[in-house]
Amino acid sequence: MMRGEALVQSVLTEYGALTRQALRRYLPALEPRRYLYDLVADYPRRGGKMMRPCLCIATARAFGARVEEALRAAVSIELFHNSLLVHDDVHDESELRRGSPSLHVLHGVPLALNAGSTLAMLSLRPLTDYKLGFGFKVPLLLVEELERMGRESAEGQALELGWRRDNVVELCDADYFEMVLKKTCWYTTISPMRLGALIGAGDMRPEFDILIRLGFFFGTAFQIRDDVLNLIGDERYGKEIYDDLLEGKRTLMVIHLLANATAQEQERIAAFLASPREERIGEPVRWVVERMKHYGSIDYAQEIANGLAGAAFHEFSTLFDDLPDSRDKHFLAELITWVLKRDS
Amino acid sequence: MDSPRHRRRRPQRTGPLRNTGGVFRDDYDSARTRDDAASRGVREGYQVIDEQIRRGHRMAQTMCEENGYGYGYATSRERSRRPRYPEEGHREGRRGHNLLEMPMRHIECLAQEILHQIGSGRPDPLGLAELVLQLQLEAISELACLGFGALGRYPRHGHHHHGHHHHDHYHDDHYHDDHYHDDHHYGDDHDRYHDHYPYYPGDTLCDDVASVERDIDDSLDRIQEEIREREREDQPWDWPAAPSSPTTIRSTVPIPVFVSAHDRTEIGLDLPAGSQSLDLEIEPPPPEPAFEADFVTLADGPAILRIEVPRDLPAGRYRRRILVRATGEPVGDLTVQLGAVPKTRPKARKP
Repeated sequence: MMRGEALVQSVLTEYGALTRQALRRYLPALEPRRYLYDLVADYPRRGGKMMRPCLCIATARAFGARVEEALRAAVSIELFHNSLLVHDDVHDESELRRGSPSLHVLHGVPLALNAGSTLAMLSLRPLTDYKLGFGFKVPLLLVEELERMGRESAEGQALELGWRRDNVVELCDADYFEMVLKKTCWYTTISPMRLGALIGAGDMRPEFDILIRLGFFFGTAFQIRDDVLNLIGDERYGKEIYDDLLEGKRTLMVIHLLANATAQEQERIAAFLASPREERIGEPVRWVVERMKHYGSIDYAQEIANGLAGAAFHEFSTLFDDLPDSRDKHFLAELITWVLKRDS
Repeated sequence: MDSPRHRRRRPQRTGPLRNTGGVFRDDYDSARTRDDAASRGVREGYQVIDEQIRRGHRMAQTMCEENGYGYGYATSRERSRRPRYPEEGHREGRRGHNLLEMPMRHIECLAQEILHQIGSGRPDPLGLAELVLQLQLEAISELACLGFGALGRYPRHGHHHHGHHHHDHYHDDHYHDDHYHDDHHYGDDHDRYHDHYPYYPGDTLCDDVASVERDIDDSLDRIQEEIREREREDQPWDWPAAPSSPTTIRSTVPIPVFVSAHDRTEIGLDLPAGSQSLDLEIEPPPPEPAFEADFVTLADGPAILRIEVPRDLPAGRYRRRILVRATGEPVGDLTVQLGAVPKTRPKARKP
């Protein structure tokens, strides 16, 4: 059996391709195409790692389901993810997404937001199709899980946007964890695995709370690594370098820097975060990155990510050790390591 | 869902591994890494996530209790040990299967079985009907028992009998014996009850309950007989049942026809070849009772002819013309024969 990164890439490629193919069925070729459905199809066609759908399918298979049984849930998650990307790019004023101009840059904010909302609505349809062959209980539980995922994501996004609007700088690591748990982990790791486990087991079980812990530790490690790559990554990364700082995001590195900087430096950082994006470009953002390296904020964040990944391993073994050995089970375990070592 | 589902025992948690700080470090030493950034981060992470899970459980518990259901995975014994909420005027019964502190386990089992049937995707309709009637019977029995309890009178043969067996006591002839109708014996009590309650114990309420139970029993017997008859005939049940009676359609052009009728129906559609591509309509109905018909054009498909025959339309032959919508020019005929064509008796030949 393949191991390590080769296994991760192999599964991501296979399940990603299946999800893309299934996803096409849920992108309507209706009118108005120029103002809506062509926009709706744009982000899904740009590719991506497809990690969320793969998590869903792999978890479902680890619990005994077939690939085709988990595909609809995987499509639902990917549609919802793309919906959030559209809205995120508007919130963050990002100009690039997956190497191409963002949707609102191409078509304007109003049309982009409308397309993003449509993607969220379309994400429900694959779950309702589960009534064919799964009875009524499983589709209802799937929709409930999707509802919770959507609500938690909105709450996390609200926290982050609120901090930026009010220039909140008195934050600690626990604040960051809670924000990332809601904004990122629920729809990136927790719900994909819980949806997969629900499909595989045919019901929601008490032990699936472990997936909330596992998803949190794994997802937060993933997000921290993403934040680190945004500061040290290269052109393969796909997003603009220093983009998080230019958006004024409160990453773990920013929080650590604020906690360790001198009073004068704290004032300057707070002023940086309060200024408009265009005033942060150039020397101001480079100064902040240099201070982060000086105080070891980037290494600190990476160390925390390592610790959280270790906790994820523990939670993983608590739930999955009793399940039969399989390629999917190994993939899930290897993925935790892969997110720490990835460079794109 | 025909592949084997993997199930695991409930895990025995030994506590989370909070000191995972150095797992991904080359110089990992569990004793050294107790207080480094990673370990502190993990501890903090557990605090955050455990609080989130607790909040989720509390919310789910509150919502379930407000809806009158027992929460999640607690056993019935755990539920019965829960403290009351006197400030809300909360009754035990709202938390699940207790009503005025009388457990109704059989009702709960019946309800679960009904929900299981409904959720199965292909429920057995007769079996489902039987379960629902049994549930009604149980509920009436329990309420009747509660009524006696509220009035301070219990069924003659003793204590609160819960579950599905106690209703037998309502058929017990002792309920109708002179003991209950002895006005001399109940004297003052009778007046007191009569003033405050609509029913006198052992009298009207008992008769009503017995009458309803007999009706339910009769219905159950009829259902059982129908089940046995179907099994004898070996007819597969068609779920859902087809709503319309047999319909024959004769058409000279390929137009989809949808018919809703209560009786045997024969449709005749007479149009010249190629006319199905025109925008057609059915001429307005006459004043007397008639069928409804119209051409419905779907956004991405051909026009279909929709015919609806009212229930009160007498059997017979009905005819309407088909027109070109734009010009009103008639191009064909639509005929609906409802019911069997009456056979005309041959005239007797004169010798």
